[in-house]
Amino acid sequence: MPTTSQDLFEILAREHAPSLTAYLRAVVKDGSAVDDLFQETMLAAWRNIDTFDRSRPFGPWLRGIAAKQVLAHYRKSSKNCVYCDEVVLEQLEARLETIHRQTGDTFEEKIAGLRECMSRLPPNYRHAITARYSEGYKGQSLADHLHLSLENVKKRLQRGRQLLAECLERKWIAEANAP
Amino acid sequence: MNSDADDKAVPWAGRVIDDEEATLSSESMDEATKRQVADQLLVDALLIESLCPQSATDREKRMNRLLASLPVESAVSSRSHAKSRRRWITSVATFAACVSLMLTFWTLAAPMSAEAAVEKSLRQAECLIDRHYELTMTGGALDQTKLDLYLRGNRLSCFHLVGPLKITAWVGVNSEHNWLAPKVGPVVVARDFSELRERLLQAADLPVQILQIADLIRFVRDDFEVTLKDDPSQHHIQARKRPGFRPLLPDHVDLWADRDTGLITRAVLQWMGPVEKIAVRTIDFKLVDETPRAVEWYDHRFHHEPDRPVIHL
Repeated sequence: MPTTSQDLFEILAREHAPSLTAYLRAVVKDGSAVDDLFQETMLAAWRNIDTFDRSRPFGPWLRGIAAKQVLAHYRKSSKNCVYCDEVVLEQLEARLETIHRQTGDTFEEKIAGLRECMSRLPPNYRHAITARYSEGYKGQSLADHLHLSLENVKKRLQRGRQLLAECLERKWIAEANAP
Repeated sequence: MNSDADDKAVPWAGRVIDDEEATLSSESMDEATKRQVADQLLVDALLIESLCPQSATDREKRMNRLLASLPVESAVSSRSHAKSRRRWITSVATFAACVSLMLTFWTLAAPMSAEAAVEKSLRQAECLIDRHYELTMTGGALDQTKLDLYLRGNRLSCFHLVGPLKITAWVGVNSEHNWLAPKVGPVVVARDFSELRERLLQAADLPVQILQIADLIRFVRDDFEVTLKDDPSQHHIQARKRPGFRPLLPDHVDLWADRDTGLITRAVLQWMGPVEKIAVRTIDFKLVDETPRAVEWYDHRFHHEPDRPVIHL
């Protein structure tokens, strides 16, 4: 029977890897930096697993470590960390905990509501979001693809994401109030 | 949602997300605005994760990289924290985790069903990863026997076609539009692929819908009886079309997939009976590589000179 702490850590790491990645992606826009911060966060968690209070959930503890890694990352790169505002990080943490409480066994199942919200978007916004995130178009090539000006594309993306955020919030509130 | 906060947060977040402006300052924002910004950043992250949920390959690579680092960490850690580690192992939480692990191992050890293997491959095929397959077609009236197919997820694809008299063309079959870019002459763009058919020489004979691996797997899932052959190195899914389903689809499909990721490395399609509209008898897909490509690769403009006339049908 596998009982080493590495085996146990692997279970926790696998369970929380998707939400950690989402957290890092929200505050770091460089994909390779996300990969590096993922490794650094997980290794720091492994090294400090003895300090983890087992009466508390693992996810917030892990993301607390991630927040420190993100701050260190921005300090090293001498960049002004626009995402590292305390309120912004606190809100992200709260939202990811809300997701964690959603019905479903996997992170993918817990965020299934996002796909439902996507299907309810007005077509113009849905096409812009799909082209940007599903097909990988960006910037001017996205504008050319949608036959729109760059400014209009940005507005559609912004409005589309805003509608998705509102839709998700309604879903989460409804689920929280469900008997 | 607070509309005042929206007015500031949405464009601000847009500048961070879409323009990648990392030097903006959030100091002048009130708390409500900051929370809206956080929501926008999170939706952006979830869209990236959800629409191609961080390909299984990438996820596995990330975890493998992490797990490969742990034994070294373990040796260092075990010297300084051996005592507290024992507490960790004997805790109630550990017991619960052990039970979970046993269940996980039991699940992993259980033989995967053919249906589960198909679903796994479908999820992998839908991921936004550039993949190049080489197709070999036999037994048909088509002059060409090889075709290079480039895919990104289930929405973008293009292939290089060699027609009669060695006339070549690039063809794109995408979610928004389809296009044909011959080596000479005007480029043609159409919403519906059928509008391109007559211009595409003998392409009417080519079952274009099965050139998208994700669509092919979806057909297999919905219209075929599937069995999984025992193979230690990879999954071999054998699919036989149910009688009466979609006459243009192949009768037999064999898929070989990576056991860990579900990535289709080879697919062989066979039409057994008389087929009037499909000239090919077999198509053999082989994965060549996963070299990343610019998204423009899937657009016709990448494959012709900028001054070529473009006809929109």
